[in-house]
Amino acid sequence: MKKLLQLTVNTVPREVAVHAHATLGEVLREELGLTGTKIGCGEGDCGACTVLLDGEPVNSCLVLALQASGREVTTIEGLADGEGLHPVQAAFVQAGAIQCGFCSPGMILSATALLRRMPAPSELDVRTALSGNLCRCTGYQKIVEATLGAARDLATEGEQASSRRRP
Amino acid sequence: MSRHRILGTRAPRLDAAAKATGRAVYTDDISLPGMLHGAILQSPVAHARILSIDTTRAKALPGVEAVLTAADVPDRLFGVSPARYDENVLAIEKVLYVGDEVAAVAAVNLETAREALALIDVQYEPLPLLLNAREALAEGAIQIHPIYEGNVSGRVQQEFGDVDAAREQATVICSGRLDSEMQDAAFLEPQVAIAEFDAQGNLTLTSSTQSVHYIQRTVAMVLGMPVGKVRVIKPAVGGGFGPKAACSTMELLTCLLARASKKPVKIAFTREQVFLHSRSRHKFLHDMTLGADADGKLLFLDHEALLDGGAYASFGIATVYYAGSLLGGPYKLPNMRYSGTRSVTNKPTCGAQRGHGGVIARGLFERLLDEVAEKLNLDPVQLRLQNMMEAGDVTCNDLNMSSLGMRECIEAVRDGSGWIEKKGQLPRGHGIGVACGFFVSGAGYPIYRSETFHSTAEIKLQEDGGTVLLRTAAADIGQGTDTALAMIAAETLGVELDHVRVESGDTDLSVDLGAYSSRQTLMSGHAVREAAEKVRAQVLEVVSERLNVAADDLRIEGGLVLPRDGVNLDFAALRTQYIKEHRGWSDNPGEGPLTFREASRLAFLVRGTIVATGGYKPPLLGGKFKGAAVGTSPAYGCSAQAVELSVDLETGQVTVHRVTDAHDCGQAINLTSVEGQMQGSVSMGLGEALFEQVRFDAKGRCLNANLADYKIPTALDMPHMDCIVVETHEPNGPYGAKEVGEGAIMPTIPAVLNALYDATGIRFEKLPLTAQQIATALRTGKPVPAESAQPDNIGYCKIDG
Amino acid sequence: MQTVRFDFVEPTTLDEAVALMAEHGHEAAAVAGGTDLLRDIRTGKRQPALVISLARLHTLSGVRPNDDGGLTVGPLTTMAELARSAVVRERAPALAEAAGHVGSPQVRNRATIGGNLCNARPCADTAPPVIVHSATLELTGKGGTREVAAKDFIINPGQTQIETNELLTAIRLPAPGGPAGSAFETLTNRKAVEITITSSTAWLMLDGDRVAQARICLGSVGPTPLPGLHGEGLLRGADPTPDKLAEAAKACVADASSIDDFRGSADFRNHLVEVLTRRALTRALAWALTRGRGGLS
Repeated sequence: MKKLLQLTVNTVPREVAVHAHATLGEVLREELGLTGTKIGCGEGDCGACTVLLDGEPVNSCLVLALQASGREVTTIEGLADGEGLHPVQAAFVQAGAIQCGFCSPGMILSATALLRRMPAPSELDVRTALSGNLCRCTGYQKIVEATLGAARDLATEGEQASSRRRP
Repeated sequence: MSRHRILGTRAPRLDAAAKATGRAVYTDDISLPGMLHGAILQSPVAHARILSIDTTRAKALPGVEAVLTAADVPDRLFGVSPARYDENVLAIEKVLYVGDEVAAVAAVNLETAREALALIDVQYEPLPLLLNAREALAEGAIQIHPIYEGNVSGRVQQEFGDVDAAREQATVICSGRLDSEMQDAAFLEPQVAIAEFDAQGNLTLTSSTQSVHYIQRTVAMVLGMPVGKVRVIKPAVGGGFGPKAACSTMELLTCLLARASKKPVKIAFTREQVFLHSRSRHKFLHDMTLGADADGKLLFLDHEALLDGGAYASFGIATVYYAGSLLGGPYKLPNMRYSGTRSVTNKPTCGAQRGHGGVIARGLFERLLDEVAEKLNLDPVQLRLQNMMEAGDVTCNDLNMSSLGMRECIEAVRDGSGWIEKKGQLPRGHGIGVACGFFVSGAGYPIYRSETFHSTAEIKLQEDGGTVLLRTAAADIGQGTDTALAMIAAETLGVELDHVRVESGDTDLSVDLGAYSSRQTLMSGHAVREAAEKVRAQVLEVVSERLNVAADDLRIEGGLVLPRDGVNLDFAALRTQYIKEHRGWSDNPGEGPLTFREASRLAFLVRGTIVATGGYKPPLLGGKFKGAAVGTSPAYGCSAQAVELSVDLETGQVTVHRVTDAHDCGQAINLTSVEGQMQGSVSMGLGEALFEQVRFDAKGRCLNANLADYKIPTALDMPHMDCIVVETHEPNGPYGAKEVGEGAIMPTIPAVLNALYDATGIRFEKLPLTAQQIATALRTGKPVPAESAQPDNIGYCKIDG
Repeated sequence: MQTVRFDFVEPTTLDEAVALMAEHGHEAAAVAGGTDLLRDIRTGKRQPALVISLARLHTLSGVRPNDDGGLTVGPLTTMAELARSAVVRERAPALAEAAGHVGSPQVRNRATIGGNLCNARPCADTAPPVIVHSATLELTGKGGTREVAAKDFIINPGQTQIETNELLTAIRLPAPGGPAGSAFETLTNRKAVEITITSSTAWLMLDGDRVAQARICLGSVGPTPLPGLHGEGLLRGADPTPDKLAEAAKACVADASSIDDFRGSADFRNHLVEVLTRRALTRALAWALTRGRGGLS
């Protein structure tokens, strides 16, 4: 029998009936219609399903939905403020850090969480923070450049102001 | 500085913002009303006769709406190359590998579908297993596939020039081997497909595919439907790299389950199923002998290759040809002999993966070049430069290098990497190596014999004059084709990029062979350019007639219609009329020059819909010998790389410090995308060199069908890459453009091998270069020996597990 | 790959959790981060009827320095917290290193030391560090609490001293009693997201310029973490010269029980035991000499 799950998703309180065995990733995609979170392996090896759980990047395929009860989840859809792009998203677009795009939602969330925790990371800090997000298309270089560029943008403009940037 | 307005810039991709915000729609994001979920029953044994299948219990499970076995589906054979159609949708008499498809179910949800699979009873009679090529080709081995006698699914024997005579002239002869393991494309998005029939029996298949065209034809053929009633669409696709270029059993089953249940059906692969499906890089064994004269001029190559192809053919016949033909360049090589065999084994089927059959072969060839250089006391860069082909040269196997920036690439890499200071000068354990490579810009011939256009495209102007609608079946799978083609359209028309909207990846839009063999920039690009030129001409004809000037006196630039110097353009009446038709708009043209908007609006008013098509078909290419087609192309992209790395001399772990990469793409359409393809190619090359191998146990079961134990590089593994884009202006390419997506992977593996030699003094001959292999070699002083490709050699092949 | 169905409950007190564990026995599985459990459920290795989430037992989370110079680690402390904790990095550097190596950043934000120890995989990276630091594990069940030495905790892969009605409630690392240091060395092919091929963890305590106590623990060269007894024996009371450390490292090969598997051959693993143990000992010694002063580890 399903249980009622209450949690906050992208600052909005949500309520959904879920099976105990449903993962957070499945529930986000299938019950809440937030298909921006991608499933690359379902086993916690690729990071495509990364979401922020109370601000920390986690593999949503390895979290039971019920374990997220009462907690805050941020998906890629929750990053931008209204019409514009979040500075990290804008940086990824400008730098050419997105090719097939399947790793991008998870990658952008991991990068954003890093910058919130560490506003002036070194390249090694960036690569370490992104080491759980596999990418087969880019070789990571433009992703790293985008993240370091976003760090500089955030330092000068702040997160709120930048997020009104148009795509 | 580009001589074009749009081409050569770093325009952000059209779909990047959608992908960055999670709005881009991939196939698994799609849900249709009433959609069922399908699941496939796959053989747990690697080789067996099917004695019986009982689906009674599965059919009785509530929520199950269709169950299919071989008896319920067409038995029409399909595959990639018509000469080797060897696959059935569902196994009829035998299963040939762990993963071979036996039955399929569609149910109201995935859980129920999987439960139903468990209720299907299959009785198997196990048969002897052949898990490596040597065993499969041995005298008396059981025949695995009914079509392939002796378990040979491909055999090539070619000789150009006279290798034996050349051998007499050679001063230096170097022989060697290189072997690799089966590898996986490891795209992030597993395959998924959704099939739906409408009330008139028209089928729409939405699939994560690289080629809507090939899938459309295969589905129509197998289902016995006219091609026109089958529409294949690709939404956003999360990478392909080769395996998604051919129709899969899964795609066919999705359609057949939809037909049987009369509802839409979705099937999504798990990551494990991606590995079992494979169609990825073969396991290769290469033996080569390379000879040169005393000055270092290359005289001959004698080459034997053995490919382990797995259970079916897929692209394999092309693979075994490419493994030989792609060594005809980029160096002058007058005599080349190649013998290649592809064997059938009880393992997943291998197919085409980035660089196709040329990658591992290039690995050994470039290593032997270094060995020749060493014997002659020549710098490896120097040896390559002195043997380099020039633009206009033709290889011994009739491949025409209409442009070839190989010299510029290798010089750029030599200078950019610090080669001269570093080669042989770095401390032990630290090394630098170089290599070159090249690849086709689109296969010269489609995979089915045909005079078809390889690409067509349509450009239509929206009637309000503002927007250019580009319609193409070309597939953007992440390499950036939508944007590149939009840029070509914009450049040709003279409008800004944001004037162009792209509809792509849909068989209703045009014919395009799709994203494989690195073809779309050149081939789809030509088609788009032609369509755009015709549209441009139509608009200018109308405007010139109305304004009483010669069409040649007008140009379109930056979205403006501008007259030649000295020509007066009186378009006041035109503007007045336009404004009158757009009362209430807030962005009507003011004072400035005549806009493309106004001009296209006029064109519509005069002629009706302004639309044109373009198409591209390569000329007849290649020699007259058997297999000459494979390797032909209207153009070739080429690449040189230097890899600098260090090795932990005790543990064998490799750290790559830097890659310097130069690639000749003719004319960069989108500079950022070209770099992106270069960098992505290097990362796949490094992964294949150092980590990647698919492993099997003694029962033919895959041991590492997951992304934890099948290791692709992470952000911490990738070094900094210096990318140098070389532009030689290819005469056969649109605006001089040619490929980058696959030529760029060719030098990586050999550059690593050569760098490891510089670091350790050991010529490695097995891929992947794991820490274990390197540490073992360092302790013994000798490389771990490769298996020989010679079928007669006694060499025991160890099976894992 | 069939769907495994189970029920889910999230107790808010330790007593409640223990009572649930006692009631359901083998039918239940405790879950902390869940990174191991969900994979095991998916592969069919475990099929619990009830999953008991420990996430609300906040008292079981966190790292506390003890007054005597040791530290207490809550079992629900994540790998990420351990790797970043100044207390752990100072007092049990090998543990911080090992925790920072597990999985990926995403996995480290969820995986807990309690889960890592109780799941007892051969490659469990936090086990060797707690063993070399002579930790004791506090287990709480219906009958009360008891303590088990870390070195005795893991019996077999997936099997520990823990009873079905017990929960791991604390991991206590004592103060060393002299200048000491520890280090964790591992080999992987990729530089991230790897399962350890072989690891070696070393802890040294000095008395003047001699080794007072040495503990070495080898990972992934046997079904459970294995003590490097031969090496420890050579080091006790010895002058820790580079040659001595090398000799001790080489002696540890005899303590390994390496097998061939598709991740590595026995021969290579034994070679790594020697190399990694020497490196771990060298770094542990350097730490003890430079930072391990004043009774703190």
